[in-house]
Amino acid sequence: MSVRAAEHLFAFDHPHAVAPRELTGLLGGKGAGLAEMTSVLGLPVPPGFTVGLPVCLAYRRDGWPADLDDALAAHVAALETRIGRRLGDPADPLLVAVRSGAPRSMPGMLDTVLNLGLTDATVDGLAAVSGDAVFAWDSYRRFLTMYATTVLGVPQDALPAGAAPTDEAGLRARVADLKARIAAAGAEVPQDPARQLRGAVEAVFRSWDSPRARAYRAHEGIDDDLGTAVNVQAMVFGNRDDRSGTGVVFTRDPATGENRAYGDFLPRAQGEDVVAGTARTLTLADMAARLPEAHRELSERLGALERHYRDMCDVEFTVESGTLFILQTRVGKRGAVAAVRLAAELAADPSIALTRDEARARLDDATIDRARAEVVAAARRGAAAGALVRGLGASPGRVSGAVVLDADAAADAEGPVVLVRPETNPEDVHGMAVSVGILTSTGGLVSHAAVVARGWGIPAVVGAQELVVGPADVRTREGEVLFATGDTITIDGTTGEVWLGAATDDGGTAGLTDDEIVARDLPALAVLLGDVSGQPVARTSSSMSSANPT
Amino acid sequence: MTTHDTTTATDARLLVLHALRLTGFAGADRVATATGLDEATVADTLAAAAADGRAVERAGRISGWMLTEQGRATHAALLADELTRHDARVAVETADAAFLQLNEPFKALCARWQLRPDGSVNDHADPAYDDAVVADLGPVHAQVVAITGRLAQVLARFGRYPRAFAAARDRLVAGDRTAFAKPLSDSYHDAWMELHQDLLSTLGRERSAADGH
Repeated sequence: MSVRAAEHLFAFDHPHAVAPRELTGLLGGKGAGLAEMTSVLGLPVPPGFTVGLPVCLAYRRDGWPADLDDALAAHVAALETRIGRRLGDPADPLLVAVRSGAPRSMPGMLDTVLNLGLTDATVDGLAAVSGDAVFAWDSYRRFLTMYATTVLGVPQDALPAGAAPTDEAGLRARVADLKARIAAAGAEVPQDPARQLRGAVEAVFRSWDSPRARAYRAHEGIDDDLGTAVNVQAMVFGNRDDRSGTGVVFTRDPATGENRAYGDFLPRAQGEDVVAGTARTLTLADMAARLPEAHRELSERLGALERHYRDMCDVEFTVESGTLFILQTRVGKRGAVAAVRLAAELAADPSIALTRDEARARLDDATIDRARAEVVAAARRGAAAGALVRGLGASPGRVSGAVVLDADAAADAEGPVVLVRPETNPEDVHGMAVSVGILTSTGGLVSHAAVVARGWGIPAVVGAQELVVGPADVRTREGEVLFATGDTITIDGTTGEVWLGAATDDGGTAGLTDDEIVARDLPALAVLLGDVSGQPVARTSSSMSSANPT
Repeated sequence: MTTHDTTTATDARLLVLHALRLTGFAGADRVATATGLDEATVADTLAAAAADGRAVERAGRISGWMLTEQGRATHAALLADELTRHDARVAVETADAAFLQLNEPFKALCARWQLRPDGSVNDHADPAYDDAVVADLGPVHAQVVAITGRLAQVLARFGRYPRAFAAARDRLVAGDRTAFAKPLSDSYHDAWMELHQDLLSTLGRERSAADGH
């Protein structure tokens, strides 16, 4: 039976009969999120449309649906009208991102093509409109690379290697080189944006059946016959200028469940740079310093998202010339211990107020068993159940020492000391030289503290944003004293974790049973299970794992 | 840097206090190297600064000289006076803006030098990897030498930076791996940090987030 593709394409603000978040079976996870964010939450989402799952299933069964080209053209036309830019317009081109969106999250498994719509004709228009030829040609370089590898199947090693040039002439030469090598590989990136779009949509459909996607589904127990949606969205540019950037953020710490936004920001970059890990990212505190207004708006949006989804969320965002755009959001993956903590905290949080049954339903037995095992193992290893705080591991090694809060005190101290500073500068180096470890509350992996600590091989944790370093003690942002001058702390410059006490302690676990350790270090579990001893008494089976969000 | 024959007591005081401000902490020998003053002059100037509470000598676990709070204030006033006398603000602002463009790329190079892409410590066992980082330092080096060279035509004491950067780079190219980023060893990173602090101090600014950390 042939499918009318046109019936399964939906603008993000399409008035669905039910809440879009319920429509992952039609729109995929990402498409449902984009529709929900656009129409229900009113978030600043770049406009676009979703090619629904039935179209992918039809493609897998019978090939490219006969009316899909027309349906795509109609939705592109509507998008062009809304944005006021046309795909392929040499004067001021619309560019789109084409992304997959399966009903269940499959991070990095399916294809994405950004900057679609760039051609030999439009790249100059983008340069003129943006006033930045380097930006335009770099975008074209990225597009050709991505299209060649993901849509045309040109092997990565057939394309030019090495860092991209940073000047216009160099980028023009790189683009010419790219085109020559793509041609040498027997392929060609179409110069007609409509053909580019068809190629990218088909590539997403095809990527559902790629070996790595199949392997991932087999491992995660995802049905091969679900198929994927395709989201076509107007591009915003995190690499446009110095007031632009891109990042990912969890509304709470996904490793510990701690209630603080946790994420990475990369200035003057596009999303692929963050995901690929090819560049070193900055912290959200760095983002606040560079782009305070966008950071403030992001913080407000994160709170609204959490209250809406009533869960910890994972948000991808871009700032273009100071303006914040939310690219995607979903319920965030989390570790087992964090899942337990989060369920309890979201029940206790009055703005979210999960009922006890709702909180309990978010944890299946496997997650609870894993959380118990992890807590016990961590305690027996000598670390407290959760690290006190976590920053960025900047210089590897685990050390313990007495806290000193300024460099002179470090230089005057007798035994091993850990120097704790908001940040370090050249006036601190004499204290850094004699410390066994360094801990800072701001700065990233290229901060002064990080570079100097690595230069001397001193373990260091930087950017522990939760810490407020005062003259005599170190507190949380809420003012709770965590430790003071002279207290012993342990830092791990590999994982970024910070604990109270010395690393060689057994954490006081010698005389405790496993259940007693769980009761001590993960009291949230007893609360959720309704048993003060921490023994599970009310186990229920649940098909929903918190580590695999719906 | 002021040439020796015209160095007055005031200049010596500025240069010595300035060297302490930039390095944060230094022995008298390092102050002499940094200022180009002879050791006797440095010793006299440091003793005088200690006597009027502007510098202290720290001994013990780690020894050397550093400024007191009062010393920092005096140093700031001397620099402000110098800036006015030489009408140098525009030139320093220009150099500072150009320098900040290079700061993140240079810090990223330091991180690449010290850590492999997977986050492990660079054990310098892969010469090709190290050579690529040193090669990428080339364009940054050319620009920072040009910036400081131009600035030295207005404020002569900035003339030490092209020499310091070139010396560290020569050591690096010759195979001395500590010359990239080892602290307190006249490494490239040391000179970079000093230049950063120098530009900020000369303009009478405190370090801010926009300057990087």
